[in-house]
Amino acid sequence: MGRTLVSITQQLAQAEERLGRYRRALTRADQKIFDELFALARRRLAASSMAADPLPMQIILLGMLIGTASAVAALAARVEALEHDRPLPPRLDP
Amino acid sequence: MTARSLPAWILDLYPAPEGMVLWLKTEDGRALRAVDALPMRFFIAAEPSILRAVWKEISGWQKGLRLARERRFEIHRGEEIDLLAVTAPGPPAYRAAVREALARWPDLAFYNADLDPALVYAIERNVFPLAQCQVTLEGARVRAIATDQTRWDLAADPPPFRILTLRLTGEMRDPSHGYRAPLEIAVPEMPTQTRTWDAPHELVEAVRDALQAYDPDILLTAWGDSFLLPELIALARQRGVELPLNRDTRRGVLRKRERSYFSYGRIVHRPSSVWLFGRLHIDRQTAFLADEYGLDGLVELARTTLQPLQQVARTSSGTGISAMQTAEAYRRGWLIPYRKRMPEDFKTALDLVRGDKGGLTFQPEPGLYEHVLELDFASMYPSLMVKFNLSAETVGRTCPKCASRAPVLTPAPPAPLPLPVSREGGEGCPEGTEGRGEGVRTGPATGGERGVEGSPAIIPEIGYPVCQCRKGIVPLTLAPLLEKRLALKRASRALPEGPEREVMRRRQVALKWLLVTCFGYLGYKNARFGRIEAHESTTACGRDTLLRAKEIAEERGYLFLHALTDALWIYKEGSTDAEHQALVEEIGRDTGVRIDIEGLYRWLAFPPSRQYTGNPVANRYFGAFEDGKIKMRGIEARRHDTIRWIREAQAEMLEILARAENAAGYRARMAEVFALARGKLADLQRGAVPPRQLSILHRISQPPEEYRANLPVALAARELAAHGVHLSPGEAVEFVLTLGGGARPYDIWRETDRADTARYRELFLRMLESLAVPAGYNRAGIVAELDGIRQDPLPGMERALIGGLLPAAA
Repeated sequence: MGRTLVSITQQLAQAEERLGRYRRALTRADQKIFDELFALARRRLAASSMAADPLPMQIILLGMLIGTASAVAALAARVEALEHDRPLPPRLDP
Repeated sequence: MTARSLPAWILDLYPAPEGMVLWLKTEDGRALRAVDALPMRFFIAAEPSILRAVWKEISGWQKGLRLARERRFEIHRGEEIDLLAVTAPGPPAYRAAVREALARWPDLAFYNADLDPALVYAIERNVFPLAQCQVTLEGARVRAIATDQTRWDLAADPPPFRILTLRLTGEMRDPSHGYRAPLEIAVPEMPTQTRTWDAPHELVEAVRDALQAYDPDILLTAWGDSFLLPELIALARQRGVELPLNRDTRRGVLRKRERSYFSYGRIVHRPSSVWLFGRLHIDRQTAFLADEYGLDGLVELARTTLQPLQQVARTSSGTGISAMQTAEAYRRGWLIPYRKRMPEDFKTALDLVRGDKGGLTFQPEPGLYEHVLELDFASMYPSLMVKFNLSAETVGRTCPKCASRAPVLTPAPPAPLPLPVSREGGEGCPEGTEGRGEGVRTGPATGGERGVEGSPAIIPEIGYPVCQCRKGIVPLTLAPLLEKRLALKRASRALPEGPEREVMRRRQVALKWLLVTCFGYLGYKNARFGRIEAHESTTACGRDTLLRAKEIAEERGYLFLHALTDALWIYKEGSTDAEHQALVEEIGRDTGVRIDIEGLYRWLAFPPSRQYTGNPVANRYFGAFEDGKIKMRGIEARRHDTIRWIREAQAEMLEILARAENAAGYRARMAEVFALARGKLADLQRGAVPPRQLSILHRISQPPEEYRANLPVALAARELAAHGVHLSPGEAVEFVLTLGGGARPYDIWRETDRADTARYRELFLRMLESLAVPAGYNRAGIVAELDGIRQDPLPGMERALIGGLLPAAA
């Protein structure tokens, strides 16, 4: 429908593809992390498209950072609960 | 000759040399042919000196054309312009004159140059197809015609159609691929007749006798366009049998040829069609979406969009919207821009979600959830178009009345060219871009009030000003449509379960499709009233509205799980119906768009993507509402391209899972699901699954001989070709995967053929994964279960190392 711009979804896929050789040289364990980081960015695509940033990679990296920080926060909450013998924070998918 | 006046329905109308032919259905069941005059007019715009020269030349044409100077409103320019009006005595003369003038002056601007005579007649006489009218006839000439109905009436009593059904007996299969079965000839309250093709003379005579004896208004067929009617016409000619398919004996049957064309990235095949005069031929196989809303929906569309029934049964809802916009402009005396007609197919708003940046598409965290609330905005895009007056001629425009109140950054653009406003980011919005809820603002003078005359609205994100002083053609068309659909929806809900309620529902669904396509049409380059900026503005307002809903829900303590364009999924532990009600009321009040509770899920699954389990898929989910009803999107049971055996198996499995009260219940019931799966796979191994159940329906995208790779679809299409059935791109071929990597067309399946069980088992396992992975199984676990090795404990759903942990509910 008259799209002239490459969508952020495509840009993310292209970025991942461009880094294919980089990924290849990573260890298998790191490759898994690499994939997960991209999954974190992908999960924040809606926000990335709202950003309409001319440099998509920085928005992709921001998505990875937020995803990682969010996981750290969730882990911190669990650690704190364990330290104080409190029930673990509930999981959304029980 | 004395005139007589009688009540009658307009069954059909079409142009003829003497004017418009009307087929009137009287209250005593007769069908009358009547004729009414219909002068038609088109306009040419140019410099006064050129217009004078054009006038002089046309007046020499001697074709009974009347010429006049006029001034009329041109919506894209926002003002009246000088025109030469050319009036032809009737539709054929109009077409001929337009053609000649276009060829003579291809560079001049033409208006009202490709109008549908049926539409013009309806507006000129203030009637509509299938309306009940009071008609005054003098012989066969219409002296007066009027109706006290309007096309917006909720009560719509269509004519008591006499319907003759023609179809092949047995399963619904495309006869143009070689399938033959006896012909079934059915009319209500009479025993159904069947005739075989081995006795063609008797067959044609039986059809003729039925047509003569019953004199149907509607000929309802399955594959009548592509096969039945062409075949019957050919047989009748060979056998010298007079087949009264038409009621109008002055006209022959009209046949339109098939065509394949490229649209929205795929090849579309439009089969040939057979149009009747005085009778209406409806082929349920080609009727656009007719399965979903049936004849009641088609009748509703004919009345609402002012198109004859045979036409709405063969065109997309985009054409319906275009007709309504044309009617709206014509009624107001506004000029209708002339554009060439192009092959067209329309994307629905839901399709666009996938391909276009348009709507906001979130990505849910894969998993199995419970107590999830789904909220849906009602007709979000059309509502926004009406609310903010989004139309080709209002977006990016200001009129003298409101220009001074537009932001400084948006100088009034020269019409009708692209906008000077920068598309990048929010420069158009000097304030309110940070924090939540930019909202649609109006110019600085009024502050806050939306959509006020004298002050343009400002589109969020892109900053286009939208003139509010004159209602746009798109909102003018949509407002009554939205209202009617809502009224039908309410009326249908108020009725008890039964046929009357079903009719209301179907009419409502037919209108829904108009509303869904009106959005795609707004940005469609071939649409008369389409313009990409209006389309962009609609999606920008949509994103803003959805985000506003998210914010309100989060303020009320809900956790945001997922959202797609006009729907959102949220969760709050122990939330009550009263809380949900309060939430939708606040969102509706705040955004000005109605939002409804779609339902509360007992459990809801967002399956992960196949390539990588940590990746979510936006439009793939399934769940059970509190009343046990299943809702699913994007999974096998819902997809039309899924093999029937697999689709039905998954539907059965979902029925089992629908009984689960929550996520734990879902997991517990997986044992039953695996038991069912084992039975199904055993059937497959034994060869007990009928080939029909295993057949795959696939559209070919190029001529069969041009496929380079030996894809199953190519193999099947080539084999069909060897049997004399040549498919065009866009046509579907049905085949079964066979041993050794082959594929056999279903139509020439032999008893000795064997389906490739390994490939079918793999497809089955993938389907099973959709259901089992959210419950914590991986592929190995599923296979173990199928082999009867119970895994305890479950390995747990393969989670991402990071990010797999959900944030704790606040």
